[in-house]
Amino acid sequence: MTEQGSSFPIKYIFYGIIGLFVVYNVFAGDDSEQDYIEETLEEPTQGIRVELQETEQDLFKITDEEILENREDSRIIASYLDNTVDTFTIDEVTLMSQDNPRGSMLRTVAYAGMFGYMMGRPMSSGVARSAYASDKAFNKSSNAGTSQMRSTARKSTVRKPTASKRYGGGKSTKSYGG
Amino acid sequence: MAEESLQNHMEDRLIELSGIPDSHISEHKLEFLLDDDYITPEGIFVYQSEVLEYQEAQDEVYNMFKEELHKIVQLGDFGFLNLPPKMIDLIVHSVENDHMHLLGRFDFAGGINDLPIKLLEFNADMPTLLPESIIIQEGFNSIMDGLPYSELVARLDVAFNWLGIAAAGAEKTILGTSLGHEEDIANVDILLNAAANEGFDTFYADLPDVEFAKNEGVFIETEDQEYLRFNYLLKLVPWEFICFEEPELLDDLHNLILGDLLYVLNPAFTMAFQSKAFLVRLAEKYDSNYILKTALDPKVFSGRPFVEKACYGRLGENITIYNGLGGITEQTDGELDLDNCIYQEFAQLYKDNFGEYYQPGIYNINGSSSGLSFRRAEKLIIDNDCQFIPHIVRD
Repeated sequence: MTEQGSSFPIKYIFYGIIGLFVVYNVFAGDDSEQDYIEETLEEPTQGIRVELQETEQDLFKITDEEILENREDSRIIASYLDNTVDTFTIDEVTLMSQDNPRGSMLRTVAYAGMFGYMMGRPMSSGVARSAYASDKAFNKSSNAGTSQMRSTARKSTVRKPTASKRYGGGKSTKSYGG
Repeated sequence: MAEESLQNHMEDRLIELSGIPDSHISEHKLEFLLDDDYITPEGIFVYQSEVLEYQEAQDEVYNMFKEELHKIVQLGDFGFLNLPPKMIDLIVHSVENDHMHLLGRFDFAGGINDLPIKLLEFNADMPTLLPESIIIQEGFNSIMDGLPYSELVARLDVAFNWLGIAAAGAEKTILGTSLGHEEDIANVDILLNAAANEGFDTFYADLPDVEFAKNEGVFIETEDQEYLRFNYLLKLVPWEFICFEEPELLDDLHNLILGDLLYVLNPAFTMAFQSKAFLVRLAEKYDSNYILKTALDPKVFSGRPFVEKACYGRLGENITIYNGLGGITEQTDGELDLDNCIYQEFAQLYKDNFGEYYQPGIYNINGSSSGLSFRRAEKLIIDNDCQFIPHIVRD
């Protein structure tokens, strides 16, 4: 009797737990859908003047990067093996033809350094040692340089939907005004 | 007597103009409004006293709309609107949370030369004509000798200023959308400019480019594959389109609005105002000189001319004017649902000596009378085949 009597509360506690679990899932079942992806974007406000040296045929290394006050003043200064020098703006290097091996290499190396922040690479990703000609140049950009760029960057939070739908496609484009 | 006699001739109200402000219209990229003689070198003048009467009419009628809406919400008396349950939820939510009715326009008959002012319909859910009433009218101001009744720009600024204050720290991000007709985009642009003047971050996208994410919000994917999220949606997409042609969009908006993830302008309750069935309710319950006799049964107009309109009609489509003797005076085509119609007493529009009819529209911005516009046509039903006529006000 005693054992049977004490089993009722335990059973109901068990049922209660199951019940609470069910209720929780009914009313809170959508909670997982509320987890949209949230990202903080950093957009540089300052510019970069990067110096590239062609060390072998079509192989470039960053020898120095300087932070500039204005982003639009950003430039790539490329020194070639034949002692000639080219200067490129952000737009020019972005539009550089993929078919041009030298241009492609030059852009790739610039993208791996702080200049990459100007081309849309996330500032949180840092810079690549292999793009630099020396530890000194790499450390300058990797530490103080990137830190300064991030401190002056324009920050914004972006929420990316996990799942979304679009409407109104294929509908008449007549005015719906009145 | 002489003055009264003159006012009975429409030529006295017509103002022949030296031209139309082409360059002003082009500067604002509204050249498409120059097609089909929509803009002509003619204007109209109204007296200050007539403007005051239009304002009084809009104030009285708008108060009736609001009062009746609150009664309907209190009683849950939505059956006559024939709307899906989720739309009813949204109407209740927008009333209980006092969402802002940004913009509406009352289309009246009469008001000039002692013709009685009568409400034809309330374009409550985002009317168009803003580019004409603001920009085209402004261009004509230098040609016409006088100023119009137009407080539209100032009132819009005040409305968005209020909305910004009510945002209480939330990001003031507003997305304008339409189905992409250039006229609709031009209307949305004017509203977005007003919002931007009051510190809102604004963006426009056609509806098919807008991402609706349940429990998350409304987004736009930019060219850089970034997603921008918006707290406010300014739509020139009618609620009835959402209800009856995109029910899944209604589901998403129901989720987002009730979850306080989105604030929509104009709010859902404007769909109740937009329904012609609401006019039947007002005619039954309110004693107002501005409300025409309106019924669900045409027999009540025995022997008198009346007008048949679809409950959720727009743009003058599917309207029939009956002469009261069993014949039809005028009729327009359309693709509307004629199973749900109302019948409204016929009202006289102002007619000039050249046989053209004038329909005044009074704008309502955030509850206040805000401006006047006129459309003109050679026929009684003012639909898309009409002209915009600028006006000035004289003492």
